[in-house]
Amino acid sequence: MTKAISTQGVGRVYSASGKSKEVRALSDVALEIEEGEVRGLLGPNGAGKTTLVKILSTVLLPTEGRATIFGHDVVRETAAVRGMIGIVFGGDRGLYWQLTARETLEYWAALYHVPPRETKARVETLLERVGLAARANERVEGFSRGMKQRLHLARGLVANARVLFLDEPTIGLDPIAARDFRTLVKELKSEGRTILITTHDMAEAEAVCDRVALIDRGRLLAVETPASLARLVSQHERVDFDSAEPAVVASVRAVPGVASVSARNGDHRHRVDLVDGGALRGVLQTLVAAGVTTISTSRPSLEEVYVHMIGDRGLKV
Amino acid sequence: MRHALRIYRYGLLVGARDFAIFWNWKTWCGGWMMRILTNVFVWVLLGRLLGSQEKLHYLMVGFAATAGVGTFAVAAASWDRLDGTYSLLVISPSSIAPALFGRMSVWMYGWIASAFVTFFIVSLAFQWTFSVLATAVTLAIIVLICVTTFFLTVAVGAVASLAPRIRNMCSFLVTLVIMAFCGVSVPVSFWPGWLQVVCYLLPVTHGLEAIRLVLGEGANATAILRQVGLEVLVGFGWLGLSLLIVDRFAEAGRADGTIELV
Repeated sequence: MTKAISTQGVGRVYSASGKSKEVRALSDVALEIEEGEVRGLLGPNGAGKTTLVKILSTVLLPTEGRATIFGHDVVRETAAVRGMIGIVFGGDRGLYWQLTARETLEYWAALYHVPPRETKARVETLLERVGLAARANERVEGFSRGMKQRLHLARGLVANARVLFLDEPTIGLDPIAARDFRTLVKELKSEGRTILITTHDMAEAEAVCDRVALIDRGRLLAVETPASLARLVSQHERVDFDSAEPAVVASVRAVPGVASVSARNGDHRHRVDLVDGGALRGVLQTLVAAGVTTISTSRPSLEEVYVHMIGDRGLKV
Repeated sequence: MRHALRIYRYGLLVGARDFAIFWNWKTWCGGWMMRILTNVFVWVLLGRLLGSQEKLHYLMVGFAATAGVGTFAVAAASWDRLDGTYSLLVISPSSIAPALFGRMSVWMYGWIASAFVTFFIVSLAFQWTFSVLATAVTLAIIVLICVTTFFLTVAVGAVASLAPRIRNMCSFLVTLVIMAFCGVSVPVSFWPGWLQVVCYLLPVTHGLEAIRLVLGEGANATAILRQVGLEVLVGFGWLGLSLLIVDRFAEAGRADGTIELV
């Protein structure tokens, strides 16, 4: 069966303007995404997520490899691909801030060949769906960042695309709007659409994605389910505590599953890095027994998980 | 064609809102038109100083019919890049041309209005009167000049959008070329032979010759129609070139990354 999105060995090299130096943004990316799947693309800034989305959405050409959308090559069959995709970029740009929300959607409906007699109803439905119906006749320039992001979403949906690319779609959304967005993604999935969503947000990936691809420095590191990704993060939980006693530090270091105890901000504050999530309980018990009162736990950032991953697994997918 | 017109209409709406950022009717009359009229009057008064009615009328036609022509449109070709909408337009299933033409063309309507107002004020100020027919034909040719110049600006705008930072320089260059070489201030015959060939491939040149024939004594309909026909041909040439390069340049930007330039 034809995959909704497929890439083989996709890479992209940028030539720096006016310099002979080349910058590799993406290397040898191989992805297979089934129809109706919601796939997350997780990675730190500069990891290559947006470059991959731009290649798949025909904004950029790959310099290596091949990418297809429902079997149509993004390089050779661009027109066919463009008729099947919708794209939402995050941030303030990409909107005509001098138009109203309604005018914006009508304009993009025209560009996407939505018949004039269908446009009004579709625009109204979308405005309702993203919660902008009450502000439909206001110009975008007066919108908050969250409202602009909702309009971005509506614009991406105007063509009724089979495949949606959502590049950091919840940037600027407040928690309630972000929750509504997740509900919307689930609705879109239930309609059978295939969605590739880039994000930094682990919770978001966990909430909406069937599987998550981890990408860093232009390379695909792994494809995991959100559950296994959450397990991975919890394994690298860490504990910060305040104590100047060498004996306390030594006893914490002796707890099984502790990778390291390092001094921070002088000798008083310490950080405990764990390699096993099960060690957390033992570390906390040790600290409480030693009379330490200032203790906090935290999970590493996504980028830190990558550092662990690269250290643990190399660049193997 | 209906599809392209539908997109053009929305592009024009964006352009109209751009226009409204720069001007309202008060600032357009009190600022823009004052600036244009000041410039035109300086040149036309120079014609009077030369003591020749012929030179006075030459400069009046040249500067009144091209008042404001060429301004802003080239720069407007890059504004979608600034808005971040350019790449989205390129990857839509429609050609980028109607959207671009729409957004840019609002400035063309501004040129037409500027030239009409200037023409009336200057002709009143210097007491140059014409028949109703001559006036109507002159205004029609002014519209033609503005449209053909617009097609030139689309082509130049498409090139300038490959280097958006120099878009304003390209815009000024278009104005300079029109003012210097297209028979606005000096006859085309003033320039070397090879340059005259180039001048006749530019918009405005034939249109101004047509207006001067219309307003001159013993107007010859055949000669006027010939110049109008040549202006139309030049316009179609620039239209064809602009249609040819607008989408090609946009698609080429996918390979070299210029699609993402701001």
